[in-house]
Amino acid sequence: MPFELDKELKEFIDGYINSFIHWDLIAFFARNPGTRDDAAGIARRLGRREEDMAPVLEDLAKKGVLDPDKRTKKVIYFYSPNPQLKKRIDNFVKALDSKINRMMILTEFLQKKGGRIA
Amino acid sequence: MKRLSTGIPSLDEMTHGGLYEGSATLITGAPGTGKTTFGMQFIVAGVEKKEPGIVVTFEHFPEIIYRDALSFGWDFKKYEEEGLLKVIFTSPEVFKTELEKEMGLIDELTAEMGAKRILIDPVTYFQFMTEDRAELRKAYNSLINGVKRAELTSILTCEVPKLFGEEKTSSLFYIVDNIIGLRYVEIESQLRRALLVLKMRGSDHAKDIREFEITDKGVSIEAKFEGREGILTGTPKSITLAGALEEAFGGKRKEER
Repeated sequence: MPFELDKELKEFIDGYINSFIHWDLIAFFARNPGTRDDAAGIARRLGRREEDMAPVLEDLAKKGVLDPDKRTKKVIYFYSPNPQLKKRIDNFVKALDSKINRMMILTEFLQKKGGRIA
Repeated sequence: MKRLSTGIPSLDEMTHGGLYEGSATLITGAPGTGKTTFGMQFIVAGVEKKEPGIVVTFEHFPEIIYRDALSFGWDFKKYEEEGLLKVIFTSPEVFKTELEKEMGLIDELTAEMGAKRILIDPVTYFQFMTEDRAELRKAYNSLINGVKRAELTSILTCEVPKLFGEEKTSSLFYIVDNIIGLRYVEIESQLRRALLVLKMRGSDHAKDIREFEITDKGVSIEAKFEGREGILTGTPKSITLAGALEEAFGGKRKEER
């Protein structure tokens, strides 16, 4: 195979990209790191449904990509990966800029999902 | 009292030295008149003096703001890395909650960064929080007071739906300290931009209507519109001696006939 995904990037996809919503959210927060909003607001920004978005936001909070502020009535999420994780996310988002890398990431993701699109 | 430069020398001159520290300035205008550019230039003027700033956006994605700022030579990402800027993408509801709660985001940023300036773009998104006008006025009041409590000098952009002509006043007009109006003007089949300082609490200001352009370095204010009247209608008329005389006497003579 002429092109192959970087091992670290592969591990990142295996560990963090569990659905297209994970993919969208991680790319969105990396590109717009000052976002601070609740599930409904973030869903609106991405043109998705709040009920689909909420569990993924929680999952990303557990994985350290986001930080949930639960002091208010609605949970507010913001981007707060540690420097090491931020670097891995930046690599993922940078790879998405290249068509060939994007195709390889998509293939890797679909293989991981057993060919099913969640 | 200390005044802050707007980053636009001609506007500093029109406001007799810039905006009072801690004041709230509303910039009104139709889409594309340059409200956000004015606001960004104000933030950059602070950054250049090592006065950190905050940009709160309810509509434009930060990645678009970074791109647009860069087209004027302002590297917002770099300013963020240097701790001189924070771009926040949020909704009016969340921002209002953050502003009101103890040690919310704005309190944190002013404490951590030492932020002095804030751009809220567009403040008119608060309208989506309630249809009750009294409630909306309370929300605006709370917003302005919260920003002032944090000792921030603010610029708030206000969308006006009409491309031309006079705009309706909003309750915001009474709450803010200063108002700068931006308008489109059609002259000889060309779209031009006009600026007017409508209100400056506690200070004199220029009353003339000036033309401005958005260049690759930001806003550039030029001379006032000479020989025209009715600029604020969006379709001004030329003032000529003959026209003025006809206006003054001709019309009357016609009526007498």
